[in-house]
Amino acid sequence: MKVNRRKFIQTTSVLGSSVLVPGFLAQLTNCTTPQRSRVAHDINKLVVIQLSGGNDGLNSLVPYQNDLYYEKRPKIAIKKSKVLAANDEYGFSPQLASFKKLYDDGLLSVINGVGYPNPDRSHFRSMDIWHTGGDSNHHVSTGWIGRYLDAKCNDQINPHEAVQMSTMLSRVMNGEQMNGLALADPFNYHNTVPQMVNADWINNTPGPADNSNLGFLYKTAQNGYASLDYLKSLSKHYTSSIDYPPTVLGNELKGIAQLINAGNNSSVYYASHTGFDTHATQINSISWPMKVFNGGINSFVKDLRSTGALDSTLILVFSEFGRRVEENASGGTDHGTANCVFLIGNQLNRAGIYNDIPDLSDLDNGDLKYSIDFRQVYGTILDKWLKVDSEVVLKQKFEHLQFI
Amino acid sequence: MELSQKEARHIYQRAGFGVSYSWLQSKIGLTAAEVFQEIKHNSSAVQETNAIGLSDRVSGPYPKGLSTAEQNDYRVARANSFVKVNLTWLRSMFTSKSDLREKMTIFWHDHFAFIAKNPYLCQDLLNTIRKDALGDFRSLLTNVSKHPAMLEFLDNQRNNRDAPNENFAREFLELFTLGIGNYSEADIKEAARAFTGWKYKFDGSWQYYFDHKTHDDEPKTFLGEIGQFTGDDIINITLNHRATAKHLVTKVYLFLVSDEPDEDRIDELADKFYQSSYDIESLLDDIFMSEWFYSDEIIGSKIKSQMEYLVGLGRLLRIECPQDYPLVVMQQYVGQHLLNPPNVGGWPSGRELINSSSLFFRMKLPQVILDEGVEDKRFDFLGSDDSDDFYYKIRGSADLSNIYLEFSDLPLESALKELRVYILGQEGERIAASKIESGWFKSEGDIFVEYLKELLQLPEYQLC
Repeated sequence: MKVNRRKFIQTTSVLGSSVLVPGFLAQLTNCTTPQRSRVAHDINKLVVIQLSGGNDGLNSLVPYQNDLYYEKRPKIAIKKSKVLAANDEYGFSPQLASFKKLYDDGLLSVINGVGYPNPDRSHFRSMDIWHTGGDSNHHVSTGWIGRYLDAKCNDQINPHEAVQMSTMLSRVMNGEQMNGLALADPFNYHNTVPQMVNADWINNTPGPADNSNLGFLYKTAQNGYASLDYLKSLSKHYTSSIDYPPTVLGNELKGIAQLINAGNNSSVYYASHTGFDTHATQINSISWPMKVFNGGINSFVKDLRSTGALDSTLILVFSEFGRRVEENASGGTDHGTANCVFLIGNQLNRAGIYNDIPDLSDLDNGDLKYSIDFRQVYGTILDKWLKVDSEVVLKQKFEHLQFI
Repeated sequence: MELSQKEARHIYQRAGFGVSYSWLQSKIGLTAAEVFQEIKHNSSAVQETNAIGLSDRVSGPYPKGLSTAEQNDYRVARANSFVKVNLTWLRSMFTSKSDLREKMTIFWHDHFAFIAKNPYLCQDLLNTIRKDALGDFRSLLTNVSKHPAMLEFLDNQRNNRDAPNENFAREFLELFTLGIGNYSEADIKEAARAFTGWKYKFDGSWQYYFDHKTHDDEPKTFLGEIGQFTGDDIINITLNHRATAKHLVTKVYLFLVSDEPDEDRIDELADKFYQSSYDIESLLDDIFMSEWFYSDEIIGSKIKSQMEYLVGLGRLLRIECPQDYPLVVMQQYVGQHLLNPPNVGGWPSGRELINSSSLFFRMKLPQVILDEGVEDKRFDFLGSDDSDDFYYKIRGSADLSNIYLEFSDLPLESALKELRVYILGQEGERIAASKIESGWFKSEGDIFVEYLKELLQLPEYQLC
């Protein structure tokens, strides 16, 4: 039905005087300073890859000479003949051929028995603990990467210092004052900015500067805008020619590689991959997630090596817990505790199998006992790689490891 | 208490997805009880989602003996059926009157988050949830827990006396009932034993049945009680614990009232909910009839949930997407692909929904729609034309004729003011007015559409 809209059509522009109010810089915290130009290859970069669901570490790095392993997992243990042997005791699942290659090239360190006291076997709670770096009986509302951003704010920092390749920002990225930036499609980012959000609007808009929901909305828009020109300029510098598995993880890793290779000056990147909660028919159900993971890492490392960016990049792969040693009656495994963590890079101090897996004959109610607190991994990375005081970020001092 | 415009608007925003301007005007001056009674009445009939039937090719068990080519064909047909179920539901919400029921169906399907392998069972569990969404929680809990899709998703089909599988019991206690901190790992193990025997089968149709052979009928110790418990006993015991009422009411409060929980109000509501034997309708009555529900602290202060935003905008602009995939992509961008939760815990909410990416999407979408998709044109947003590209273009059209009609009788200045209040609420009207005075609003061409476009891009539009 056509409506008479003539009365609505006007050609007057309603333009008043522009009211100058302090720009977005005043409305953001005093933690941000204008971006100083830093060259990407000078910055040490951390890429965190989260495997959600509880990856079965025992079937990733396999203790193929251990009788107990085969005794407890008659159906789902990886057969000796199939294992890609790394040394006399351990080998990789045949689905992780890229990891074997990284191991051979001295680019991989596998740290075993990583966990924490009083382990929680709930996905949410345990992932929360890994995200926040808190004790298992504490509920912390900020993430360790968010607090890294807070701690770094006296130094050079920009609104996209930490980037998560997703439309959702996880708690790991929330600090007291700073947050990471969620970027689903970095080089298309400028196409997603609403027409109204421009320098004029940012500078003149009287949004509240408090912590109400409305204040939070304004602050988020302003932060997003602040990184705009920079990210747009990056898109001219690099397009990946490497094939990535056409999946969520593949896209996320490709996005990160493109940003890094284009010279982006963020210091932390975050990607995630799902499908690891293998309660039943594990051999089948783990197959696709592993294939994507293996292929994704392969492409990603290749991409970073091609520009030399790997020289200043460290990749951390973790999961919220491992799985129970004994298989269950559904051909799968239930939630466990301590697990292995992978570190990939060419600046590793101690590549290879960093330490032994926990004793399979000395379990905690069927689960592996941890020997390394995951905060030791974080603390080592914070102090030695990201050059920020880990005690400030983690609220405690944790003993360093020697992988870097 | 007679409702002001602000309060009437508030009820419809929270009990549904918003209503038309003229409908809203007609309710000013009625009491909250009258308006809420009518809202409930409009939700009394249960309209099922009927995208696929039981005799559909993909509705039964996975067929055996298929060649590789046939298997691929089957998987494609199955994937398409899932999309059909999802979009039949979403599209129905764009025009439904049964707002309160659909709102609570969204809530409960997040509370009982599941991922189905079979599209017919997915649809059936959705309908099961919808049936009890405004009714008796015990019935809802029992029907959902015994549904084949849920038993399959949480591995209870493989939970046997000789080899218990804890997945179902864990999520039952952690997510469905008591909530974290109110039970021990030992309780999970014992509950798992009690749930053995809860199975499903297909003999012409899908059904739950109790498998005596695999049920562990030895005594269990659960939450301090000892007995030869079955799954039904576990339900009774967990409902007897007030912690369950508090856990549920806290979630409902966060969904309907505020992103900030208020302990006193929640405790009071939980007590009543418990006393009412978990009657969902009385809980909703208590919320919508409370004085604090109409306070300035509550009105207009909550971040719109995913569907409050998407269905709200869809209705306002009469968005139509003739192709399916754009509507799927839109759900993913707002952070809730219905019936496809990221994990058992459901979808994010509150501030978790808002970051620069997601906020820009929410702000940009109406701008693109109004720039390109009106007057028989089509809007295109994001992605590429390559159908292999992960990010698909969002394309569709909008129809503003209704909204024009509603305001066309008013002189221009009043029309714009009424539009401001209608779109943003009273608080937003104040902000928008001050922005216009400070020269923020520029307009050429169709002033009504331009103005609407600017209003929908304001951060204030993200609140309800």
